[in-house]
Amino acid sequence: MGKFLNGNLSKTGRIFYLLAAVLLGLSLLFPWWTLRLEAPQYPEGLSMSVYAYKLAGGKIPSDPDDVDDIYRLNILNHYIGMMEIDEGTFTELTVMPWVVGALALLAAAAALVRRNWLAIVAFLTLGAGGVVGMNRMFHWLNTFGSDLDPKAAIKIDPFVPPVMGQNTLANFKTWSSFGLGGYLVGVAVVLMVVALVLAFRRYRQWDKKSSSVVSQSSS
Amino acid sequence: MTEIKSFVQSNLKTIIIAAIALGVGILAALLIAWQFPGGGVGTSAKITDETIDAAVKTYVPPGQHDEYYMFNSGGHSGQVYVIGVPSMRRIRTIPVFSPDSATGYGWSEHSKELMGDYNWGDAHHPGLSETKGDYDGRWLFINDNANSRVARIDLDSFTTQQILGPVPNLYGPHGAAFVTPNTEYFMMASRFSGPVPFGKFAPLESFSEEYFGCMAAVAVDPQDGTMSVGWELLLPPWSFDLSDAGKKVSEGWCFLTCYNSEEAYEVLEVNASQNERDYIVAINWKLCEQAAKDGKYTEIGGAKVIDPRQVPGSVYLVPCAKSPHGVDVSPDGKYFIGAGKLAPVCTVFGFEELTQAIDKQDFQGEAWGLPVVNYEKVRVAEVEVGLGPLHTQFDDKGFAYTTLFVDSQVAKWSLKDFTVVDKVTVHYSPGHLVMAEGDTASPDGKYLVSLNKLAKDKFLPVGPSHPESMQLVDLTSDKMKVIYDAPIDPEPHYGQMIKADKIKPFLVYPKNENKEGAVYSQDKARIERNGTEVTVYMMGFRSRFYPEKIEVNQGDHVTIYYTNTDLDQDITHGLGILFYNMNFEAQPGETVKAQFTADKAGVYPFYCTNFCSALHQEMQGNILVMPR
Repeated sequence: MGKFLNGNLSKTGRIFYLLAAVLLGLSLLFPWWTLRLEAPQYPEGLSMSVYAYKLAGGKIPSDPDDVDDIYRLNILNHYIGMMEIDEGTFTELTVMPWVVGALALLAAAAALVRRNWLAIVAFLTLGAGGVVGMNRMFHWLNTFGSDLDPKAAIKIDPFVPPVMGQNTLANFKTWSSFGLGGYLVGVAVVLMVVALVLAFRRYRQWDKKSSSVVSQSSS
Repeated sequence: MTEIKSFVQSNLKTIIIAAIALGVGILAALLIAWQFPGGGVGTSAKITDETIDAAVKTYVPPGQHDEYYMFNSGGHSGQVYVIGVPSMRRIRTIPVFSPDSATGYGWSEHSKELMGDYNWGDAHHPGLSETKGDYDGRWLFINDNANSRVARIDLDSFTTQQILGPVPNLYGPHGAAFVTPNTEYFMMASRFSGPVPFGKFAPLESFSEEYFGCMAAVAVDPQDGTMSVGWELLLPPWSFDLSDAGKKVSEGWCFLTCYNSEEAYEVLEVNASQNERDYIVAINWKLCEQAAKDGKYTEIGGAKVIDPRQVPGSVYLVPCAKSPHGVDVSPDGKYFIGAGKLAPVCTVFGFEELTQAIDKQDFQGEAWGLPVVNYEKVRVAEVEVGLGPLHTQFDDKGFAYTTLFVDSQVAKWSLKDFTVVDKVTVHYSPGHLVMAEGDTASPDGKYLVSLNKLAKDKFLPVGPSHPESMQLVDLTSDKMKVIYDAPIDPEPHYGQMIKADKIKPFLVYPKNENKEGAVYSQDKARIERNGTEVTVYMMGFRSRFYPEKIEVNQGDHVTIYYTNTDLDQDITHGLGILFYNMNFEAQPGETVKAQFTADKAGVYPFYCTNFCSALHQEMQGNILVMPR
């Protein structure tokens, strides 16, 4: 096993890790998660996107100086007593870009240094980050859906908006899904896994071959 | 007699058989006819192919938009109507010269400043801004025939943003607003004559000597549309009726019609209808502009007034039959066409012919010291269009269309051979007509709207005061057809029809913390007091006000800045105060200023007047006025 950890990534594995690093970097430019809402009065829909470092709402196409849909969502949400969606609430947004950047660098470093152990560290860190990230996401969705002001004009049962999929809330239909940024991170994870599997298989073959060489010489 | 008797007796059998056969035949015919509804038996409305064609051409299904905006003047309602074509649905009314409690126009400080000392106006002729002779969708100008003013509506918000006037020396600018091809100016010409400046007295008997007509060239700032009086032209004491700006070959000129070249000042109906020909006044406005720059003017009433008799080459008179109403320049700029009103003709004049006559000094006389060009040389054709021709517009295929007030028709005639090719009857007595971009350098054809002065029996009766009638005429086939009747409040005089995609209004006022009095958050909403001056910085959003309790002392002067912080399409919040005659509204994102003196003690609830949300009824507050 020590030999595996000290072993090197193959050329393909290195390319995959480099690609993963690039994709992680690129993911910062695109929304990771999006929410779209439609109601009879909002046929044009309202939308909100979560980037690694910010929130962004949809805008009225004809109005360049428009505030965004988050502003409008907050006004609508106050009827059911939902807390205000405010970028400042999400400390994750200040940490995430650094974490993602660091992970991209780690993946790139693994590709350059070639060491399997570094690649594994990069993968595990990313995995851990992913788990923490999903946990935070559930936390926030749960908080927004259930921490409702009891004095709100319109009383609704607490709910947890789905991470992915459709939901109905009063006159609103909502669709939530991962955005391009989220999918890029997903692909980066897959690339790393494939690279690691390839490396492990290469190690196993090499290990088999070397052990058979050893047994031949000993016989 | 006996012969008939014997004939009947001998043919009795045949006659009985014939009678029975006739009875059976009629019965069968009735039975068959009954099988076809609309076949004429017992049905009231007949659905013909023509009806279906008209319905399809004018029906705009739910969710779809019209092809054209039509801006019609509202006449003495002082408003402008926005209408969709071909559906003919009225989309909106823009208050301009009159208060409109539905939008708070006339209550908010901005609108009060715009309206000045007047709370009515007579909106006649809207003119869209142009670039290279085509509508550019930026501004709409409209005159007030009553108080010598003109307003600018900005088409990014469809709101009145400037009212200029009373423009000095100009008594009743009926002949406005007709825009030059690049919106350098629009011309305003006086319908009435009077002593200048305003306020000067002169007896009517001195009409010919001490009364003057006037034309103002209103300059338009190319960046923001701000209007100012550029210069004015002193004119004879005649009634100037309508005008149009030259385009293409005739760019740099403008034309006015006039009646009362008789200079009558009583019973004009008779006395102003004596001359067989009055004039079209041809004005070289570029030359006048230069004259104003060169200081060749006298300042009267604060305006630079040019006397054309002192600037040779600036004004020529073109004889035109008879008390002409409209003057309209053809899309190529080659012709200017006078509509005869009291003569059954449209007189077509050539611009090239005019300049040639001027070059050759081919004049037939002089009036009021201005040269009258030789009619025979300048006239290209007299088109016998029918009785009471008033206004002409154009299509894209070389045809002109003229309304005939007396005949109650629209005549279509060719600009190539000057013959009438078609007529359509309209209901009743058309004034102006509006065609798709029909007064620009590149008309679209397709639609014509006849703005009729009488509706009479066309709609469900509503008592003695009738609506006006707008009729949509289809121009897509050789034969003009009326395909839609639409009622409208009094009274559109003229309109402008512009392709819908040329106008792109914003939908929500942008958030701007630096706007005077604007507040966008609860912690900034407040009441400030300085002696007896109370200023309320207020915000409204679905469905509350901050502050919602306003405590003042009797006699305080209260200024309210009201910001609608719902930056969401169509979420308008009003603010109506009970018993204080106060009502205004703020569009999404808008900050509106209003003020009043709290001279009555007591409790005065206020509320949102524009239904905004499920909790609209709860959107209310109180003004508490402590007794002195």
